[in-house]
Order: sequence, then structure tokens, then C-alpha cells
Amino acid sequence: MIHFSTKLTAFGLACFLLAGFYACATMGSYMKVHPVELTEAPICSECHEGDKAALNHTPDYDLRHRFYAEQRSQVCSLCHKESFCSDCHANKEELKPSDKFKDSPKRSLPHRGDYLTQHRIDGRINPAPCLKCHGRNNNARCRACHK
Amino acid sequence: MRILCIVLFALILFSVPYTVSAVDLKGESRTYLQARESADDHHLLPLFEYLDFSLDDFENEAVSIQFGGWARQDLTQPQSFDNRSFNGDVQYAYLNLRREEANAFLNLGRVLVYEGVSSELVDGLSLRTDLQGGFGVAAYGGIPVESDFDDRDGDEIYGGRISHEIPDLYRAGFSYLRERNDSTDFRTEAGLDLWFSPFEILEITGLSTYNGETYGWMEHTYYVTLLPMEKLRLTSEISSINYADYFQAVDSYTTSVFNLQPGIIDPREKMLLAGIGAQYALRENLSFTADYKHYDYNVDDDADYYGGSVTYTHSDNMGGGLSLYRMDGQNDRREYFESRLYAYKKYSKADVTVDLFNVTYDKQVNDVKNAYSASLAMGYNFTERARLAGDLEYSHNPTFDDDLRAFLKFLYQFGELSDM
Repeated sequence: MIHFSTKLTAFGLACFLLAGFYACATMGSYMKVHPVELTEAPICSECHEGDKAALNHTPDYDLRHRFYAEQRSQVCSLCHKESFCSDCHANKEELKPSDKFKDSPKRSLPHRGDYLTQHRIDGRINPAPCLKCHGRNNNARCRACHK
Repeated sequence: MRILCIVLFALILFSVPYTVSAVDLKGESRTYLQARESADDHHLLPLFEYLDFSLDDFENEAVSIQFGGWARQDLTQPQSFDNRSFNGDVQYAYLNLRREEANAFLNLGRVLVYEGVSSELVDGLSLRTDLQGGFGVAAYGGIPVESDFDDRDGDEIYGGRISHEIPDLYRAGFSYLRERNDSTDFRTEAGLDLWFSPFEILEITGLSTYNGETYGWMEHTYYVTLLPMEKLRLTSEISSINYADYFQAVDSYTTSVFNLQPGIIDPREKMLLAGIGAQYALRENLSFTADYKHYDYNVDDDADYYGGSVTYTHSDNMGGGLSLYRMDGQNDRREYFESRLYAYKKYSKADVTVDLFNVTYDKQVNDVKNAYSASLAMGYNFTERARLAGDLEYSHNPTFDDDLRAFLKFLYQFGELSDM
């Protein structure tokens, strides 16, 4: 069962303080859904400037998308359903993302092609991204060999 | 605990129609049938159902329920890696309370948390709000959702992020994460994240993470983007990973390949990646990219990765791409060319996609010099809501001499239509 430690109590206190701060806030919010329907890989700078223009879905965007999501994931949800994220970022998954979307060749998806051979190479070059998705999550298939 | 969560979620789900004035149900069902052979020559035919939906209070948009999950039934024999003919998972399931002010929300249930150093799936609570003066604050806590191999007794995770921003100039945050596993401290991490754009043509973004268990920096990763001309985009990347700090939170329930030595990961290893890239749009429908990355290791041999690509679109209905990259490491396994060629064509309701991959190793792997795969995908949109698609993929590689796979999928959207 959950251990209601002092740390969780501290968390509860933080929530309380958060609510207190919130009472002072009177600013507006992002819309829930982007008001204009967008095509795939939108170039946000066609309409926006500044930090919104930085979200241009250029070919290198997949490398940087985590930084924007970790700062303000609400902006992502203006256009993307949560399932869009969980198609790749899953706790437990049996299908490669690229297997689900072979009819979307422009979409940046991990593990295209023969990844059984390639994972040995990529894992040696930089194993850090592997740990994010296959450490304590989504690792049943990994553990078939790496017990 | 799981049963409690399911009961709680069901209660919330069925209570919403009585607590809000009107609700809007929308979502998507995705049914997949895959036919393939296992490594030990068994024919596998798993049937998957992915279901996601949201239940929104559409009049004031203050309350919603979000759900995503999947189930798999094997129609022949069980998948070899888990030996179970039925499996499934709840990917996310939570109640979202949202206010019109200050980007404030509260999520309760199985929630995906992205806040600085935290990129976690948690059974619990997450909330955030903007504050006065450009500040923002977020917090979360609960039980981490992890592999099935470990029980959840004594597990807990909590953390948060404090941020400050001057819109269109910079946004910076400090984040913290604490995780206990089996009642013992497992992860203590802190992070600094940054987005900074002092000029319209310059952007810097990245993250540094610190391990509070080993007292060392785990990662520094930063990207600099420069836009010297309207059609030219230059990017540079620098990333540093300290293996001893990054792979500290590994135990017997983690994939063993990440174990520090005497496992595979060398704790003395430090990787420094430096890369540059350029994208140039010659015309609106024709663009080129070029990339170079250098991997510098403390222990292992250095490596270089470089190449480029071209993409072409002819109206919205036809296009293609070609890429060629070279991995140049001082190691047999890290010397190869990889290439990809794809093309697609859309008709009024139908579409066809061809995708070819090839990897040519400098030295054979399992007596194979070229590993390649070719896929042909076709789809047909019966209505705006219903789509049937399928693909065939043939591959030849060091693991499978001749591998033929088939994939059939039926997608159906209900409620309001959504493109993404």
C-alpha cells in the first residue's frame, strides 16, 4: 500500500500552497483546441511569432519536441490527442509505432525497418534514450533476451 | 490498489453526466490484425484493439474524462516474449478539471506527466497553474506506473516544477522528482530547462538533469537554432551523458542491458555528442537537409554520423523522400550506410505508400552484408470516420533471412472528428 510518508505530506502542503497562489492568479488561458484546423507538420510561424513560432514542425522538430512538452504540454494538446503521445510513449506496448503507421511515411517514428539488428548498434552509440522508454516501462520484449 | 483505481475511475466516469450540464463523447477505435512469424518459426496472428475517447463538458469546457488503452488477443499461439494469449494496458485514464484562468488544471487518475525532469506515467494527481509576474508552478504525486515484474508495495513518486517566463523572450524552469521503490529511495532528480530567444532568428532550448542519489550531472542537452535566411534553418546540438549518474536508477526489474558493470553499461563512460545541421527549402515543395554528428566517448571509440535527405511534394496528394546517411565508427558494427526511399500518392478516397530501407554494413553481420526492407501500404477512406488500410512488409536482415509480415487495420472515429 501507499506509504504516507512525511514526503507525501510535504506534497500535500505544496498542493495547498499552490491553491493559495492560484487564488491570486487572474490571467487568461490557452484555448482548449486550436481554433484553426491544421495540416500535418504545421509551420506555426506562418501565423505566430515568438515562442509559438518556435513550435514549427520542421524535420528536426522530433529531436526537440520533448523540451517543449516538458515546459508546456498544454500547448501540444491544442492540436494533439493524448493518444498521439501514447502511441510512442507507452508504459506497455507490443507494436512498434512504425508498424502502426506505415501509411504515414513523413511522420517521424522510432524503430523503422529492421530494428532487431539496429538496436544493438544504437544501444552502443547512445543508450540514454533507450532507458527513457524501456527501463522500467515497456520492457517485456527487451527482457525476453536481456533478463 | 489497481482495483481501487478502476473503481474510482468508473465512479468518476459515470458521475460526470450528473455533475455537468451536457457532455460530448468523442474518440477513436483502432483495430489491428498482424500476421508474422516468430524467430522460432511460429505463425503469430495477434488481434489488437486500441480505444481512446474523451468525455467533455462542452458548454463550459471545465470538466473532461480522458481514456486510452489497448487489448490484444492472439488468434493462433501466444507471443513468445510473454507467453500470454491475452494482454492489455490502460495507457491513461483521468479526470481533468480545467479553469479558464491561468492555464490551471488538475488531473486525477492515470496521468502522463511532462514537467521538466519528469516524464512519467503516474497513478495519482497532477496539477499546474500560472501565477502572477510570469511565474508558474506544477506538482504531481502518486504511484509510478512501471513494469509488471515489480509489485507496487512501497512505491511512490512525487515532484514538481517552478518556472518563470517573459513571453517570447525566455522560459526557464526548475524541476524536481523523487521516487521510492519498495520503500527505499530509488530516484532523486532535479532539472533545469530553458527556452531562450533573444532575437527572432535565434533560439536556444534544452535541459540539464542532476542525480541527487549520485550527486552528479546526468545529462546536458541543448539545441541552438539559427534562421539567417527565410529558407535556411541551421541547427546545432550538444549533448553530454554521464553513464554512472544516468544509469544509477537501475535494479533487477529494469531491463538488464542497462545494468552498470558487471553489466553492460560502463560507469566510466561519458558521451559528448556535438552536431550541426542545415535545412534549406529550395522551393515550397522541395527541401534539403544535411546533418553531421560527432560522438566522443571517454572509454569507447569515437564515431561520426553524417548524411542528408531531400523531400519533394507535388500538391498535397503526392510526394516522396530520399535519405542517405553514413555511420563511421572505429568498430565493425558501427561502419555502415543507411538509406531510405519513400513515395506516396493519394487519390480521392484511397492512398498508396511505398517505403524502402537499406543498411549496408562494411563487414558482414551474421553473413549478411545488406539488410533491407520494403513495405507497400494501401488505405481506403469509406467515410470521414471509417478507414480500412493494410500493408505488406518484406525484409531480409541478419536476424531473419526472409521475413514477410502483413498488417490490417480498421479505424473508426466517433463523436466530433479529429485529425490528430
